[in-house]
Amino acid sequence: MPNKIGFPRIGSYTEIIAKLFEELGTEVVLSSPYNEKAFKTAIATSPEMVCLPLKYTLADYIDILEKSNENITLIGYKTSSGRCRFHCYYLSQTQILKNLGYKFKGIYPIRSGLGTLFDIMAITGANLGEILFAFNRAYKRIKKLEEELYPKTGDIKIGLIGEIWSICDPRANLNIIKKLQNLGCYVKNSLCLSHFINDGFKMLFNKKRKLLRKRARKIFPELLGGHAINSLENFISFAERGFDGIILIRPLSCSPEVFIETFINSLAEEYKMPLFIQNCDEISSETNLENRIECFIESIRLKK
Amino acid sequence: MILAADIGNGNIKLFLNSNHTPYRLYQPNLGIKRTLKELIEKLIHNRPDLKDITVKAIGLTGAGRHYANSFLPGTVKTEILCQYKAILELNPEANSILEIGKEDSKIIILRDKIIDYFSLNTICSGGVGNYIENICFRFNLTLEEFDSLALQSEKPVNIGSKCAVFGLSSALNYLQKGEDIKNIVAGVIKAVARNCLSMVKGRQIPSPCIFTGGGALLKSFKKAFEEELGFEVIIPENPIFTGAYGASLYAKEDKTLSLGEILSMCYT
Repeated sequence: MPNKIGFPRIGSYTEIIAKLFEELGTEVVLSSPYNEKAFKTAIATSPEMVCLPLKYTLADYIDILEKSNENITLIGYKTSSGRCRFHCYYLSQTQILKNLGYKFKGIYPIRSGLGTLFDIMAITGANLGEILFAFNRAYKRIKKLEEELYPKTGDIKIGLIGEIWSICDPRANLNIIKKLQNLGCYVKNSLCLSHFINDGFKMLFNKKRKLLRKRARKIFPELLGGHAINSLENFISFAERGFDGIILIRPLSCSPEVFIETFINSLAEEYKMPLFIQNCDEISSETNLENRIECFIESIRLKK
Repeated sequence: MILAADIGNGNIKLFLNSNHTPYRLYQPNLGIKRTLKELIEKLIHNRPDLKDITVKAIGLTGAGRHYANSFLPGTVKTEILCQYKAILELNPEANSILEIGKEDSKIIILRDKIIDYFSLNTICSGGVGNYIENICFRFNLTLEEFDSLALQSEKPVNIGSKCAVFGLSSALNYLQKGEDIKNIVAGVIKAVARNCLSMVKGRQIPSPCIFTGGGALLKSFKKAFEEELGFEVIIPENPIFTGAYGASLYAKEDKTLSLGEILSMCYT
């Protein structure tokens, strides 16, 4: 019998990741795009000031466990830099799910970088060759999807920086990307899944990227988790490539992104770059967001 | 004649410009259609001479602008742009704008007469007029009484500025300790001013700074901002209506409607 797995949704990439696991011989239980009951339970049982990714991924786990029997392995994500709270979330989520009375094999945290390959080997039982082929196919699908998600049209160039999950999951960012595109913006996401996968290789071989990382490290020399350092380097990159505005999307109270806020603000002043910060939380209001980004884009148009 | 409406979450403000003679009217927003209808009816009742004059342009702004535009044709602009346009028209020297509404507060910083940075309150209600109204309600004060008490205080208490709910608890806590009410309300207004100013995240708010919105009607608010900023802030005439005035400046003159026709659109 194949291993049965479930994993939290991450926007439109969800189906591609599911297909990857299926191709490697596992049975995948997909969570529903939005299950209000599961989400309410997740909010009620999550620690009070925790960030949105814990709540949404927990809701996805609850939804999956409601659909499936005991014999399932849940998959969690673990960041390599390790200073973001997110890398411990699978532990508290396991405890919360147990407290709720669910029975499952456990949450298996997948590391980033090369660790991903070994973790997937352990979960699926597939060999390295099979995984690399499946990864290659998945990568092509991801690239194709991203071409559809981010068409290169629009007269205002907006760069997105921040935390990858909240940028990629429209539930978290209240569909900000579509909203910006509807306002006539060309949106460039610095943290697409493909960029995330490429980042390690680029750091090795791409001189420009290496230099940017160096400059970001100069601004903030301490280790930070999440995508805080990426946010700094991507800000510089967007500003120097002549973008019209930058939007920082992060979960409310996200510690790495909160740390670099001061530096991002100083960069915005230095480059005279319009900056908009969107904090994602379950209390965020969609109409409020619409109003704010419309103000943001209008003020950029005024400048042009 | 140009008609402009600033449809805020708290109040709807109407501004009418007929042959360069302005007419202003506002009331609490109890549903956009209903409130607009009541405002226009009141307008026709108060100024029957305007009833048959042609409305050449309509300007819409404020959080409810898009819904209003679904039944009322007009030029739609965001409140940031409208405030900016109005303030530059009223005070061309302005370098920054502070607007405190009932549910919203904004800061706009200008550089070379162009919007360089703006901020709207995001996740917290600690910096808006509603906070003050809640305190007035709890302490059984009118806004005028609140204002004059706050102005009398020489030793404002320290009240948390991050959250309106905890701010109220903190104010009540001082009451339990027997603190003079004038020091408490002065502490509240200082807290709200601090909260608003924290929106710029360390940027300098340049002078001349124009203070507008309903908050500008409170003298104690002006004083609190001046103490925090270290320079005088300027309040334009009719600060509640600057947004609507800005919308009237943007409104395109391409219509021939009577007030009666506009009123009937609000009945659809």
